[in-house]
Amino acid sequence: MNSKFFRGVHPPDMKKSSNAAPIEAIEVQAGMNFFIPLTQHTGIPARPVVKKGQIVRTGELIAEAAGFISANIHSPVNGVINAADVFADYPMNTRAQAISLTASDNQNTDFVPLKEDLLVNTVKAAGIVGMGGAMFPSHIKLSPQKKPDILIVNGAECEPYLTCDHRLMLERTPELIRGALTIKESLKLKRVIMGTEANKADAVNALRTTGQNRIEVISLPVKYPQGGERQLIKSITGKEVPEGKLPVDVGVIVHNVSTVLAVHDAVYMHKPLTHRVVTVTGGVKKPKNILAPIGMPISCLIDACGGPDGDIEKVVLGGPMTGICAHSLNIPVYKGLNGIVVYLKDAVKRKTPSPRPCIRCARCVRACPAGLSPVTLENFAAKEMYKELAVWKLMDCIECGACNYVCPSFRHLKNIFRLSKKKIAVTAAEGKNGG
Amino acid sequence: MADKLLLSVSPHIHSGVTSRKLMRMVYLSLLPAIAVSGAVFGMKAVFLHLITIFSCVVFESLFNRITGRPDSISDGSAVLTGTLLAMSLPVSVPLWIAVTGSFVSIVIAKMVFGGLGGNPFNPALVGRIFLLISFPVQMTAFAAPSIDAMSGATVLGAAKTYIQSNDGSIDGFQIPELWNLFTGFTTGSLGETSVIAILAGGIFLMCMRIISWHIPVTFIGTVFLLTFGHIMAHPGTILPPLVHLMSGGLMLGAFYMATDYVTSPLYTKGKLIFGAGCGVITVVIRLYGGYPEGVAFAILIMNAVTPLLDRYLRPKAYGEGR
Repeated sequence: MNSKFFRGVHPPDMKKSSNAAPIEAIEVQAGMNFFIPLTQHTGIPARPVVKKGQIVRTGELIAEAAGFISANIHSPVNGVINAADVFADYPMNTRAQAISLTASDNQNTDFVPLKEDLLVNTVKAAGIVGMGGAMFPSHIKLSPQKKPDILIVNGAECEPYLTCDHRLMLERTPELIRGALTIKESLKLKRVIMGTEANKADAVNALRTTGQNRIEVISLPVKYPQGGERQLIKSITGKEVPEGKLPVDVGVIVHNVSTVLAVHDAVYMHKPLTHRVVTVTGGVKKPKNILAPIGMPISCLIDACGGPDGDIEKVVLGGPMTGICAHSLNIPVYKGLNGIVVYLKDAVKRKTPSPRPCIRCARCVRACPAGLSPVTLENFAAKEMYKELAVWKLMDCIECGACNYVCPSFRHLKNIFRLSKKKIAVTAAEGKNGG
Repeated sequence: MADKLLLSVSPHIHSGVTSRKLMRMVYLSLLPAIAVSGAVFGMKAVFLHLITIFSCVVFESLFNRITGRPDSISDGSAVLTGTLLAMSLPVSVPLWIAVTGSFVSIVIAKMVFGGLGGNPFNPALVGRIFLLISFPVQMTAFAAPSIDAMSGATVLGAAKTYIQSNDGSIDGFQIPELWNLFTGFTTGSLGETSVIAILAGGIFLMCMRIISWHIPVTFIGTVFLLTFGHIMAHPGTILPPLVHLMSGGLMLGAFYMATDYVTSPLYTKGKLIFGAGCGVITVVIRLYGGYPEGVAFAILIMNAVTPLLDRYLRPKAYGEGR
């Protein structure tokens, strides 16, 4: 049963600095400005339902899902709406339409409760999306076309540095299990499997002790990308999701730890998704796991960790393998933000070397968890040979960056794949639109 | 707080293993073989190493200068090519021949194809073959090792001549002690004689996951199986299989030349076919061809097949079914 996904890489996990730091809630100051992007999910941006000057309470709906693949957005604090149509700094596309609001001085832990009762409706109303980073609206995964048998709770957290899911598994074990079992009952699943990595032994113990035999807990080898959805399914069930199919086609649905907890909070506390735990680590004085309201600028989180421990070189949103560089410290916390990794100027010893000729060492082939050949794909991509790229399965690339990580010639493999994939998708869309 | 942030694409970390480090490891693994060549053939062997390395570096540097290409010496491949070329030369070879070999290896076999990564054939082997067919006398005048009594031709060469003059029978040929072949006290090129030194280096490289087992094992295994099969069918007509394994350039070829990243297949299946192909061609040349040794030719021929193997033996992707 405990079969491994093949290939992958072993970056140093760097989790020590924050994995023992209990989750801390960050204080909201009166007058603090929040920017809440309308695109914190895959799909159609949410539609604002508030007006300038409107007073909102924590948990109040401020933007509603504008389609099936979309998600609700709620106010993270008690405050006043400044504008519903501003642009805020955002990692994807650098700017995003957002609602601006200012926190008032009457902050408390109350919130406007959700009123739905069915699980799927509750999750939809709560605006829950995949909080591992993918930000796919969760209600869609919870209303599958086919009937799945297994729920895998993804607690692998295979990205170096990140510890937010680790802390949640430790500190909110009963709620996590209850949330997972709720999904199990609602979808009439046969099994719930918690998949985590061996470097989180305390979490594994806690889950086993609390879970008894209601859930299965599997401790997987520490390997990147163990938490990649398809890799995790392979590691746990031994099954591979066929090309172009979804996990549900092999009877599995996968939800991240934070997402399952958000489902728990929505169902049992009627709490919409307004806060999330973010690991703030790297070059900060005191790395922490912070429970932060969505919309708060990341600079506040870095300050809450004692500020940077020197001059900031770059700030990575997410983990170092797949995270996006922040172009501004005004970027707000968003639903999919699991980590903020600060790199300092002196810690970056030298600039990333420029690419050198490929020596065909095939390390990228050995690293690719999707079983692809990055070296060959790079050749085809550079020459824009799209027919060959299709034969060599470029679209199966999960953009995990393992090939880049091992490339001894520092070639920008992942980036060229991402660009080529985008180009192919655009061409396909144009073709469909009668081009 | 800094107002300007560095933007770069993910991943933001790297394993730290660079091309230069890989080359350095390969070089390190060759040190035992170089040391044995010094012990067996004297200081001249070490000098020959230095000459080929130096001339390879100079030729590459000059080529870059003349063609206006960026410096490529720092990648370490010229040094490695020089070493491997020296290892395939007999100790008595005149220095100008060694320098000519360096020129062919670096300029003709590598740089004109675009430098590191662009060459279809192993540069050191191209240099060696060029010298072998251009200067057959100097290239096969193998000096006797300083300790052992054997001199003149290599074991393979002597056996080939003997068998031809003896109506296809090996009867009466004095087969050298396996132990001497294993440790390196025999005639041959600098780096070819000591099986144990090359084996040590090769196993080190496999343990460090710098080379995979596929090519060396299938290569050596195929040579063993074919010679074993031949001797079973026609006893007394060829050297025993173990002597075949431990003579000539087989070990050096299998561990260092055939596994060259640039000129060998990328994928497992291709590697297995490549290794087996090298083995078959080596045995065919050794047993039926005009040359006593076929390792270098075998690898070059399989180098030519490499692009085909890479193109048609694509590994299965995740979810593609097995």
